Amino acid sequence: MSISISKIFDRIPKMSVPNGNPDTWNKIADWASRPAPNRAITGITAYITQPYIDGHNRNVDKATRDISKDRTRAKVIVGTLAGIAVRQPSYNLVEAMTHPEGTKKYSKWLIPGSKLLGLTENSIFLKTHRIIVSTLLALGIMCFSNFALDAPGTAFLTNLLIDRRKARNALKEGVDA
Amino acid sequence: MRKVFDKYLENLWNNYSKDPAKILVHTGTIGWALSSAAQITAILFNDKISAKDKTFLIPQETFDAAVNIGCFYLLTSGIKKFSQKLVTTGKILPRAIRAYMDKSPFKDSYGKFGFNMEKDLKPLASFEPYKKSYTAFKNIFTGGSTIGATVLSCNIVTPLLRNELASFSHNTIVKRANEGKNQVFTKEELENKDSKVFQLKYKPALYNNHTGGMKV
Repeated sequence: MSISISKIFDRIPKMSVPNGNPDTWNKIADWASRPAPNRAITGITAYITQPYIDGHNRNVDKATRDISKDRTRAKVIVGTLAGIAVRQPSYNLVEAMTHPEGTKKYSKWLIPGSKLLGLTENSIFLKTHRIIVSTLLALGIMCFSNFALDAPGTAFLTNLLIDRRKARNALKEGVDA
Repeated sequence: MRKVFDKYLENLWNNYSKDPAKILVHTGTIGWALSSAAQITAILFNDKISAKDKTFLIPQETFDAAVNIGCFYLLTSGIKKFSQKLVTTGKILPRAIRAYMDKSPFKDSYGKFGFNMEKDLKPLASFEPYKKSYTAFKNIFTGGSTIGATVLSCNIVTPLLRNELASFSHNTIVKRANEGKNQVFTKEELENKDSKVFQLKYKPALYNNHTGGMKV
């Protein structure tokens, strides 16, 4: 199996991309891999694609399709905002506690003692460690925020969107009549 | 206490800082399951959504979590590994590094499945000026591919699949309910007040009328 995969892989032509500035590349990659921007990117694309897919689901009737579209829209908006609101402060808190050269009392609290020697701010392992610890912290917070914030927020916004759609349709029918 | 916490941090560092995908998959799985549970609760208690629509929205939410988890394991991590392989074998490189590789002793072997830029070029001092550019390119290419794969899997493949599955479940329930409505009963069944059919067909209406007049 692995022989055939390697043969297929070897047939792919070599490709090249324009030369870029390594510092700019690193900055963009660092920014995009942080939990909050990552959530924002997936949230924005979800808002574009998911309601469209729900609105074109021909397997259910129009009323169900409309409700499903409203709920998906509400879920994406609330989920993205709540996700960013939880992830960004979690990352900032973890970052503040993972500075190997920091002078504050708490600067090194979240770095394992055995890894401190020779560790620099640019270490790729340190950057990954920050993402891991902040993701775990965010998950802990989300155990509560999913029930206390996301679910009621989604229900509220879904109902608001349903009412707006119904009012719009009623107005349209009135105009048509 | 600090010692125990330090040991925990050290475990995290040793196990996941080289390959964070493992822990991100686990946290993602727990996150999706939790979010789905919360959303299902919200749908169940939303009075503005009819029972008929709930028979679609609840399976839709359940399948959303299940398909998302499956897609993450199969699609997202597969694309991520493939994009990493493209860079580490030298199949895709910035022009300057490719020009260097074409003149290097590895000009015939790079880009092949078994080649590894990081291991095979390590002893080569002449690669040192290109190392920073290579690492930065690897970061942005695999990072971009992972984001692209996440968008494809979570925002295109998952909604398409979850809708198919939820529609099937919804239509099965609706069909069963309609079959019940169209059921033809015998005259005896309908007239016998002790029969199950009579109870099912008329009791709810009688009960509703009665309680309607009993508002306190």
